[in-house]
Amino acid sequence: MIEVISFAIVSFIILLSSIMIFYQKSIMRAVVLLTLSFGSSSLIFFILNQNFIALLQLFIFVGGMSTYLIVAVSSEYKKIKEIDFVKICIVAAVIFSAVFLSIVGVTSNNAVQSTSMSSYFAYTFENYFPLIYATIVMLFLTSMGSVLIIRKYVKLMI
Amino acid sequence: MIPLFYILSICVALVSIGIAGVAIEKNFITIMLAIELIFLASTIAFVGFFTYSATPNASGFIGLITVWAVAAVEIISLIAIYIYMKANGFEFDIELLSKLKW
Repeated sequence: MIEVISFAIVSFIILLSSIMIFYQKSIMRAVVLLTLSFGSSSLIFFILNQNFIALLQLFIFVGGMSTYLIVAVSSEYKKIKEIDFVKICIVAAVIFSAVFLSIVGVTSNNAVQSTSMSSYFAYTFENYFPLIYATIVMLFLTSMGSVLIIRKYVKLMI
Repeated sequence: MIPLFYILSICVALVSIGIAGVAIEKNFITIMLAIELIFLASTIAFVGFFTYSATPNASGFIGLITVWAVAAVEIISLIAIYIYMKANGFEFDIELLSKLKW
């Protein structure tokens, strides 16, 4: 039961942050929101008992998001037209209702959780996954905070 | 115990948000962020199908690595092209995509 509740909270965070990406005037905030949705997706992998994949997800998207952050810091971002928040929600809802039953409704509802992927790849340090995960999250948050401080106090001439 | 149905629902919702963003948004970098959302949905679907598969093997992990590699290469190459075109004064008009309408 607690798994389902935590899954609902995390998925709500993912959906809200991914919709709010298109509503930001600054690309910096959009990138931070996308990072929030990626981090929450790694939490979903944790809930599914795929600890190794959660670690790898954080590792890989540190690289991807750092590229976006460089672009966000170095470029001037101005929106030509304001995107209507309701419009994007309506289009997303139409696509969702068109795709949902045809894809999700067909699949089996009685699927049983079988394995953890970490049992294939990481026998040795499986007990230390929460510690490693916390370390990576702290490093990532430190790097994000340093970029934000640079953005605030230093005028980059790129 | 989370049903597979919930995970696939999240995936479809993320894909629909990403497609709506690609269709509506006018800015190049924000379109890239929307494409990232679609990749995120595909990774969640891969992990979900691996977790609930009846005969699990490492093929799900290989697919996951493929998705990650494609996402990383796509980000870096497209942003390099974008910065190059900006630096050399080329116009990168995303409005030209509206010619695809009929």
